[in-house]
Amino acid sequence: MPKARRTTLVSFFCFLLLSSCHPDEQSITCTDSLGCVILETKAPIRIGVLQSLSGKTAPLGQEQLRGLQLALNERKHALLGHPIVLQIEDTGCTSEGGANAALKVLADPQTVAIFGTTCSSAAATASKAMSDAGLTMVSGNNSAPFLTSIGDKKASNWQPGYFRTAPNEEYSGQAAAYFAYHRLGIRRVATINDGDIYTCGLTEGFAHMFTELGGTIVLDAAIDKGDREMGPVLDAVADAKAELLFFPLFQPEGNDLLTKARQSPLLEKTILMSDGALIENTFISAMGKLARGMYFVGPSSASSEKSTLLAQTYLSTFATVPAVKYYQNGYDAAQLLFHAIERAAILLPEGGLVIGRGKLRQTLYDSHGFEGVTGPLNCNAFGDCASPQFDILRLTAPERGVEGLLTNIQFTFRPKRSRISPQAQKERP
Amino acid sequence: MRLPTLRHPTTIASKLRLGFGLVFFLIAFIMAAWLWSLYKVNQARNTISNCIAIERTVLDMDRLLEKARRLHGDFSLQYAIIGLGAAHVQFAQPSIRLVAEAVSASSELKKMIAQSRVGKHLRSHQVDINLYLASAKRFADTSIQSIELITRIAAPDYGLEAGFDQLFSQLQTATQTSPPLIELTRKTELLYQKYRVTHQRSQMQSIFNALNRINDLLDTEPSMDPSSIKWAHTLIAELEKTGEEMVEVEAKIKNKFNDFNIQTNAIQPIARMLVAEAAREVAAAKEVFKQTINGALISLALCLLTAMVTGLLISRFISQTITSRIRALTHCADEVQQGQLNISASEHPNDELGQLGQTLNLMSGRIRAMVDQLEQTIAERTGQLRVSEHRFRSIADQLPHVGIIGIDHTGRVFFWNRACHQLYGLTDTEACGYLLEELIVAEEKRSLFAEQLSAWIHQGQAIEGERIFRHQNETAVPVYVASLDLEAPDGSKEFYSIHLDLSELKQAEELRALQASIYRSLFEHISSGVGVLEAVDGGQDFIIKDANPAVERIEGYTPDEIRGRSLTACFPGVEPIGLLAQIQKVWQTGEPAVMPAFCYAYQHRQQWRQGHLYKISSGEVVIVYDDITELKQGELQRQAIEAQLQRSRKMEAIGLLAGGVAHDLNNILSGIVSYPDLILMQLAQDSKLRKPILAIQESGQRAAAVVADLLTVARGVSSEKKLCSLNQLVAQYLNSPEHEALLSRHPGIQCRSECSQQIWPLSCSPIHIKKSLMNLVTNAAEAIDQGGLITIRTRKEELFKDKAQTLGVKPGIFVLLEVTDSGSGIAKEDLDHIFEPFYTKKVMGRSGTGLGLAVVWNTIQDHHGAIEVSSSEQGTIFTLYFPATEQEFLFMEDDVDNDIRRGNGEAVLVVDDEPLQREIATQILDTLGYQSVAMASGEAAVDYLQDHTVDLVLLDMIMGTGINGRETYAQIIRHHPGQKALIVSGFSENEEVLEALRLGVTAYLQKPYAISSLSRAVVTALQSS
Repeated sequence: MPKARRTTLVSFFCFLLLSSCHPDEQSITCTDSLGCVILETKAPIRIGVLQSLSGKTAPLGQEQLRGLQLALNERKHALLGHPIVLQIEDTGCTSEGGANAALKVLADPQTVAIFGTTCSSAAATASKAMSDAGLTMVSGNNSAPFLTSIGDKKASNWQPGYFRTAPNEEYSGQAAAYFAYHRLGIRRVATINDGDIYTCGLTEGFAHMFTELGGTIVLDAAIDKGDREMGPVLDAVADAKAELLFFPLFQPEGNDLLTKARQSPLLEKTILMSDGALIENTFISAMGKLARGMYFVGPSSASSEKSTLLAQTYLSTFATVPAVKYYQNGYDAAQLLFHAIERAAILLPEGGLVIGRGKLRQTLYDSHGFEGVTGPLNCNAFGDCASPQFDILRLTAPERGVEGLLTNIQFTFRPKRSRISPQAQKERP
Repeated sequence: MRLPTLRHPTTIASKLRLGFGLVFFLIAFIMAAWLWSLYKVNQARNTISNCIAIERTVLDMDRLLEKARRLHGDFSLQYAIIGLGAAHVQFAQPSIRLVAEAVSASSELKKMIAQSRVGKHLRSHQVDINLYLASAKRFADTSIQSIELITRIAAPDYGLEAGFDQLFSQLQTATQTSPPLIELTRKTELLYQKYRVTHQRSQMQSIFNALNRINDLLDTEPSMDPSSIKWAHTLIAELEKTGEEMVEVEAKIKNKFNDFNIQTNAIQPIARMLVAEAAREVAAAKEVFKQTINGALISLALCLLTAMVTGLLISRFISQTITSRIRALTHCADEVQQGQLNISASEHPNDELGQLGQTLNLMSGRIRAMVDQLEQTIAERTGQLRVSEHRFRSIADQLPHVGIIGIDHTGRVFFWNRACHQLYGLTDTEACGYLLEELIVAEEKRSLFAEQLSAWIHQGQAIEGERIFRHQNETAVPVYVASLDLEAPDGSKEFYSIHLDLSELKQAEELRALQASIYRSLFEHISSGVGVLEAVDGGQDFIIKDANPAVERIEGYTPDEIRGRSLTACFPGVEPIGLLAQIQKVWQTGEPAVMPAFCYAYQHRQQWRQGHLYKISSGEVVIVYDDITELKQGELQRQAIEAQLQRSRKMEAIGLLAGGVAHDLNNILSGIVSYPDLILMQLAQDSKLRKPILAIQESGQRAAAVVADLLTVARGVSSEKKLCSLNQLVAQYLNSPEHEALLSRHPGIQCRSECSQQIWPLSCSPIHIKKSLMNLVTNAAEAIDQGGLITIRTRKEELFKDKAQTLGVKPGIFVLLEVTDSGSGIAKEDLDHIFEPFYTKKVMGRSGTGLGLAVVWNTIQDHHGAIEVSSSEQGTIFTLYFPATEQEFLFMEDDVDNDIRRGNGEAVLVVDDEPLQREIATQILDTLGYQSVAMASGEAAVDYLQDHTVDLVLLDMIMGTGINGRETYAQIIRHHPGQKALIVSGFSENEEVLEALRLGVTAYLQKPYAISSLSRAVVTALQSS
């Protein structure tokens, strides 16, 4: 036997010997800069769900879960032949709750993406942890401008990989200010926030527009979450001789402030205005006639054929009417995320999946013209996917609840949608 | 497969392979068995120690974190009692140290789990371990942040509480002269003490309220001087700022403690679980360890016994068959090395050692043959070298213009070729034997040259470069000198100096340098642009060979940017304007040519140029030209400004006239326009009076139209601008009754529209845009005699600087409305006057008001747009440019409904200072089924609405000396937010009307109004939300 052949033979046997020393491992190369989630055949796709599920804001989180549930039902709880498994965590609508809930979800390296949060304060901390871990997060309820962009520029809490289908409420405060100045002829306004980035964003937007129009902010006060004593801050409002009080608060602080304001004779003529966080049946039924005459600013409700169909499905699935309309945005957020996972995933021959984390983000940034029930969704470089449009509503018939309030539109404000140039898209902030 | 080496082990290699293979196999087998046993034992031991370490680390970490939490809690409770400094030392610092140890332990744990092969129990809880580790780090961060926050509040010297106390103390001192202020500050102090207990924000808000009251009282306090008051105001502002920061920090501290609670709830169950799992791992690993030790001992004993027996057999076999024969071969090789080439080695048996003996015998024979052949080759090579030496010596002697001088080590010449004779005038006989410097160097430079020569000879510093030497006739000889030193056959050194004649080259260079300097200076400093073009592709295109700095000033390209590039690539516009053809003609004929003034336009550049072309002797074409753009633009702008000024003066005169009478005329016309409707409603359908009353009404409406056009011409379009789609406005006009009436008057005319879908919206007064379109289409129809075509087109266009300047607008995106007809066109002398009021070639009064194109012109002016007219015998094109906007627009319904709408008993308040107007409005409203009330002033209307509510207010804009319609509405909505209202006025819309609309007034109605207009406006307003 020639020497070369003998060498080849020996090498071959050595190779076989060495190969037999290692178990048979499937070699899959991940080229994604943020890493990949690799799923074997039929392995579940894990989605982290961060929502407010305790306290007075629980109804908001509950409606988000129901929107997600409707989207899951439509897809029979599976994507690309893999079952969807949810890890649901409660944020308590606080920043610290958001951070700790995010830690729980991120501890599992197989988590593909996050659906949430309910409250913007929770999103601010959760999205930071999520983004650092290379994940993607889609919310149907966050609307604070600080999470994405302000004035077409990157906002302070913006994080790569964060998206939302609820409209950016940068213009919500402006809409309220415009209405107060031009339609109600108001020139002196007091604002109260609770230190949350959502409510601060609204009062800042209001004050900016109102002073620009020529009005005066006579008081810019704050309360703490959990405060029950509203007397001193309302005394300050009365002392400042405000013609209108703008208080974009959550429950229960919003309830306490309204109750106390109605008891004060000095505030009898002061017009009261709040925001979308209180456009909720539990608030209206709790406050009843005390809330009559109040103004609210909130995103316009969808009234398309799709939204009507979804409302019917909601009713037949849960056998109750929704407490808020934001379940539609939650449904859109879930569908947008599922659609992006389907497009970003690579199907392996045996039925496994490789989901690149960076590719999933990029697919969402490239989402344009996605038909949601709330309208077309076009995600920009900051993660905003919905078109902003806001209504000023007046509560004249509390007995008709949210449905009655949403039909009593006083004014509609539709700002121009920010258009990020293709170059800016490429040089994503 | 056959393995012959194993069946017939006749070769040395086979024997060695077999022997060493067996040895290697045995060693490898023993090593493998030993290593495997060692590995398994180590693995089991490591698993046990890792699990114990993990268990211990988890317990340590849990204990550390628990202790740190307790210390941190003690810190937050105790700092107010024992002081921040002591609390830091006793609680905060130990807490931070423990947290750091816990974090370090958590990192260690992570490493242990990653590096060791822990069992299935712990691996299945990987997610919980990740969460535990992440939470430990987060606890560390949160702990440090909360201590910093507490320090910010309570630090004794610089903390917020200390700052607040200090400021408050200063405020008490500043206000101690005023008893009411003392009382108020005392109350504030009590509130602050309460806040220190509760830490509630509402309590701090009460403090702010009290401080505001002190602030208010300060300004009215007589017992304090102004400087003290100012100081007190400053202190209060600082107190409010500090207080605000205190409550914010307190809120953050509360959040941190909430964070701790959440973390504790998340971590504790995981810690318990990890300890239990680690204990299970230890037990499992100990069992594996025991089994492994037993197996390893038995395997090792068997392997060692086998190895000892086999090793003895192999060593005996190798000694007998190989070692003795190698010693014999080594002896033969030593003999060959000492020159004994005839020695012979043993070649049997024929294995590798036998073959080695054969090879040794062959090598000694071949060495003998090679020695003989080498001697013959040396003799042949010596003869060839002699011939070659003769050839090169002849070449050196005969070389033209290259002198070669050979000198020896004393500097004396021994070789002097023929070229040297020509250069220096000496023959080789005259030169050889003399010192070189005496032959070719001037007397005064000889010593220097001798030194250089000596340096070359003795130190190897060769003489190189250009030099001037001396001819025998004392003339200078410029040469290029190169040096070469060679070794002679006898071993001595020879030095050769090679002189290349540069006389002719130097003369030519001097002449060229002089000419180039003159022309370059001219080229660089001339103010006209000069370009040198070289023809390529047989004159189809030209390469720019050079351009002077003036070209950079004119064209904006530096000469380096365009040099070497194609003319048509740099300036693509030269071909369309015919300049390329002109250059080609000059290149072909050689005849110079003049470039008349021409406009160079390509992409966004429009420049005027003028100059000359000529061909130079080297074949290139030279272009010399000047930039005359500013001169040309100045002429055009002057003409445009003069025309604009003339038109503005005419409009001003008409405006003065029209503005004065319009308001009164509209009030007067109200009776003529509105009453006929009321009369007609009461007349029978066959009444003979219907026709004359309709004639009166139509006359009134035409008069009102004239007044409206006059107002547009006189005061411009001040209506509220809305975002509209131009295509939508065109569609609304084409579906309007006015357009249908026009087509019925001109049955032979076809009208079609070509609207671009890529159009942008525009901010405009839709009424005036539609009116302008109607006037243009009417004009077009009247310009066509029998039959013809009118085309309405819309599109988007970007106007760049030059075009925009010509039209008198700012550059940007415009939407264009174009009306084209196939009529006979407009005479050139009429084109300058068509936009003047009442300038017409038609029969006056046949159609329109004589103000049609004047209205178009004013509409364009008020929208900051432009208009272009071009006319020929084939027809006329009017192009209207409107600035576009990128904003979105709302769809507008066209109001073409002429039906009269009736009310249902709704209450309407009419406010007008003119009795006739009040009378007309109330009569119409009552007739339509409303309940009307009239007021003669805005003040009366506001008073009335204090005690009454109405469904709609009909407000006149201008009312004598009282408040106007806008002011009246502003006061009404204070008591009735969202009150529905209509504004009516005899003037066109102005700023006050627009402000009223912004406040919430539903719509504006122009006087005089027909009953149908009023009825629709009222119903629309009542139905609006």
